Amino acid sequence: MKNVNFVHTLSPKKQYEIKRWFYLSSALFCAAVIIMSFFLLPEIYCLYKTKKEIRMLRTKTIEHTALLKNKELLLQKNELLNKKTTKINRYAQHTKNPHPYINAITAIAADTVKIEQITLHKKELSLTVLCSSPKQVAHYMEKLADSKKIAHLKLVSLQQDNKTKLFKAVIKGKKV
Amino acid sequence: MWPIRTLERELITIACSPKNISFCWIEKKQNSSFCVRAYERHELHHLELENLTLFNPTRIKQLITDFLVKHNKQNAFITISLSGPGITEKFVAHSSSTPNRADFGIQRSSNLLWDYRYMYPNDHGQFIFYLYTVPRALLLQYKLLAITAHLNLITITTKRMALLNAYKHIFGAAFRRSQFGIDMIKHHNKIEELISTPILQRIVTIPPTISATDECVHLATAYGLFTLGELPQ
Repeated sequence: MKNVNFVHTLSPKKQYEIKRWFYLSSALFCAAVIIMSFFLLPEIYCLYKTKKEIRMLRTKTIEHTALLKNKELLLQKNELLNKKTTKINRYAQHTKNPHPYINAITAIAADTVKIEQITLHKKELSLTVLCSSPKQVAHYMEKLADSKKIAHLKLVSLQQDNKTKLFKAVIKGKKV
Repeated sequence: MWPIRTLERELITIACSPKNISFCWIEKKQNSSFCVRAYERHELHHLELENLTLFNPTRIKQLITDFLVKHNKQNAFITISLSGPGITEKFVAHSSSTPNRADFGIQRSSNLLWDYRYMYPNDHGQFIFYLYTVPRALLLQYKLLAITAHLNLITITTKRMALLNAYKHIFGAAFRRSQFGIDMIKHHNKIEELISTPILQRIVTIPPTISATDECVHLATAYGLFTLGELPQ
């Protein structure tokens, strides 16, 4: 005798089958996840570490490029400065440089002698000074001769100004 | 809470009729004998199931839930039997043992569910068929009730079908349609009278707290429903 059932539902047998299938599938899935994670996790961790390293290196490289550019600029500037300083040094050491002579002339002059004019042309030196007495002129000329920068000193003229009462002396010499 | 409800290897039977509703928890023992673990019958005095229509689904749902919660069987399989004027049941005699559906003269309707089952041959060379018709709207009500009450419903059948099944299972391998026919004719096709209290008690252990004589038909129906459930071992 066939049973009468007004509803078409899943039979308990089918439900138990589904239950078994669900638990088995879940267990298999969990096992698969565990096994996969066992093999994949170290790889993923390695990938993570490498990516982190790449990120760090990238940031470092960005700074490095800027630094390199800066270094190149600085090197170029240094080169230019070196060129300039060699030129300056060469000029400073050259005999044509009047600076040591002017320096010596002004240093000897002190407060007693007022230098009015210095003319340096090739090896010729013409010096115009103002002094209160002829002795001071003579003393000044002695000191100039002692400095060993100028030789063959000659007093070309010595005149007194009526208004200021100062002696104007024109000294000529030759650079050593 | 848990996405998939656990399945229990238990079956709860519910027998609905306009006058009363009964719940039974039968357990199959290791030695293939049956034992009634719990049984409750509630009288329905306020037309809750008039014409088997669920006029008060809240009350019915409450009764079902109370029984299931009381015995902690919320996830058990449920079988329901219906008996009453809402369902038309007939025993029809036919000259052929393999008739067509058209031979029963029931008009095809989308609102009606009907079918027939072969019962037994009679003395006049005719074949008796059990014919039933159920309105689909009525079944929908019970399906909705099962959904709202979260019942793991597996069967809805008629009370007579449950009793027929109980009769068949009581006889087991010794079941013969000819003997069944003789018994049916003897009792004027009143299936309720086929199973007596001593026969039922021989198969099902009924606790002394339950009056087996008064509840014989209901318990036999429950037994029939239990055997219909076919829980795999």
